[in-house]
Amino acid sequence: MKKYILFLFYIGSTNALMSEEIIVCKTCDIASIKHAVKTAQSGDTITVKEGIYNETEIVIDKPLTVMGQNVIIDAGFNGGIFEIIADSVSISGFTLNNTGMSYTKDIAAVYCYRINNFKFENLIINKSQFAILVHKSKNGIIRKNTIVGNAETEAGGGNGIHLWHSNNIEIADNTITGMRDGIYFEFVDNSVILNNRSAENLRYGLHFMFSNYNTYQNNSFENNGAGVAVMFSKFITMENNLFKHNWGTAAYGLLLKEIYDGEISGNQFIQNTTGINVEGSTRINYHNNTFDNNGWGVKIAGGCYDNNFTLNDFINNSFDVSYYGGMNNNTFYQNYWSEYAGYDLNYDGFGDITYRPVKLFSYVVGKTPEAIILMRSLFVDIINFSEKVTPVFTPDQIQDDTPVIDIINKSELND
Amino acid sequence: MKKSFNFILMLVFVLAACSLEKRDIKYGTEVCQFCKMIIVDNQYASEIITTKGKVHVYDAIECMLNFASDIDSKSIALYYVSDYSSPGKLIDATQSYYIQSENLPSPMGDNLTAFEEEGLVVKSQSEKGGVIYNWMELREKYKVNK
Repeated sequence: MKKYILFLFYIGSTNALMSEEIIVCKTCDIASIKHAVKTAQSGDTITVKEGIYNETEIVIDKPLTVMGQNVIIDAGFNGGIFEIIADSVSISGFTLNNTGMSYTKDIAAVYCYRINNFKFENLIINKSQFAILVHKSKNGIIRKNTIVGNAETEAGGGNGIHLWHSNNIEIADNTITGMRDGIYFEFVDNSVILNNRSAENLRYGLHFMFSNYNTYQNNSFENNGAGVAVMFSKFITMENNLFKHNWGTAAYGLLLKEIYDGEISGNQFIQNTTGINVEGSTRINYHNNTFDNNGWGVKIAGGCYDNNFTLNDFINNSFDVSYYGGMNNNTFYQNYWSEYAGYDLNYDGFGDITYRPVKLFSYVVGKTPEAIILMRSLFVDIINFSEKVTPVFTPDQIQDDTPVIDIINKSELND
Repeated sequence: MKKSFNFILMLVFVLAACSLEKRDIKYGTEVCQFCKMIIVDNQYASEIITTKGKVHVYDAIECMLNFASDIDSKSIALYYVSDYSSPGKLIDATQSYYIQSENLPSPMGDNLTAFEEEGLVVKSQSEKGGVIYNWMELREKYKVNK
């Protein structure tokens, strides 16, 4: 037993001996971060004291913890700042400014390549091409960063947090504005995106391409070119997110294309041109979502099979659902529709007659977008009403047999 | 004399109105005709002009080719792609050189990049690796019939 304790002590003490702290400041022997990285041993901590440092391309090629205390690193538009090519690296507490742009190279404030086990925390990144660029890496945490881009130089700009061929990454509590895509996933699996705010980005707040088994929860996506695009991906869980104010002819709260086996629940879609635009998507459950004041609540195009809509609230949308293509086993069941005009004479909480959410006029607009100018005219009301009474053009199978009388997801509306 | 001059002048205007011309893509607002994504990348955006003069825009070369393979390509008059080396410049796709390289990722995952100059495509192959295609080979690859 005693031996064992001694052994533990031995391990503890060598560790303490091994990991040193290197201080960088303007008046110290070591006055640049690059110099500090050079002198450091694996496992050391580098603490950078207050000041403005003009450095670019700081290559971190060994396991290190790099911490800034009120430190600004200004790249002066000459290139990237941190480039990490070693496992077990943690970087925190820096303000990283002005990386500059390039058309032939991806420049990033923080770039890592083929690493395992990393943490990027409490960084403020201003005016970079890419803010955090992760290539072929795994087991990382990207947390509490603030990324502010300059979306005016639209075409040259990069994405806020850009992951490519990566695995097992947690992205939490970040704020991203003014980039091309706020968060971009391409070939990224088993990752989570939590409590982020992605706003005023040029293209998408969050963008998945060819990425499977990912979850995003409790994020807000406001005023982006479009809120979130999920494309060519499987098993994506989308919960309790806010999609707000994504306005424009091509703007969606959520764009789904070629996705399978997803779960969309507890989200709020408020004041978007289109809440969700669905194309070629199969086996997706939509439940407990709120669609409030959108142009279109849900727009379903061709190639969608086995999608279920239950317990959603459709409140004051110009069109609750517009639908092109065949029925394909898509169902609507027990949703709340603010336009439902039926009675509940037996007080069971469900309307007594079926509700058909697809209006004839949505077909007309689908064929001839310019017809939208007739919206809210008496003529349109008349054709919608006559279609409601005797459905001819609208697929009469798209119906909710048990429309709910009261708003279902009340607590979330009060958020 | 004057009458015929007027007539010729009119003819010139009419013909000018009919000529098929590429137009600039409105980056950040226009949507790819094939994949519905907003077009932002001016190194990959592409454009088709039909024989009737309708312009279709795409966010990537692969989207243009996939779209073209779905329709009767006889209805397409002109193809344009972006020159990777001078962003924002649309060039004649049939006269361009293409590289498919993992290290030059394109917006829709097929990693196709176009260059106006042959020298540059060879140079980027030596730097990044990958396969070089010309227009006819690319057409074949994406089954765009002619």
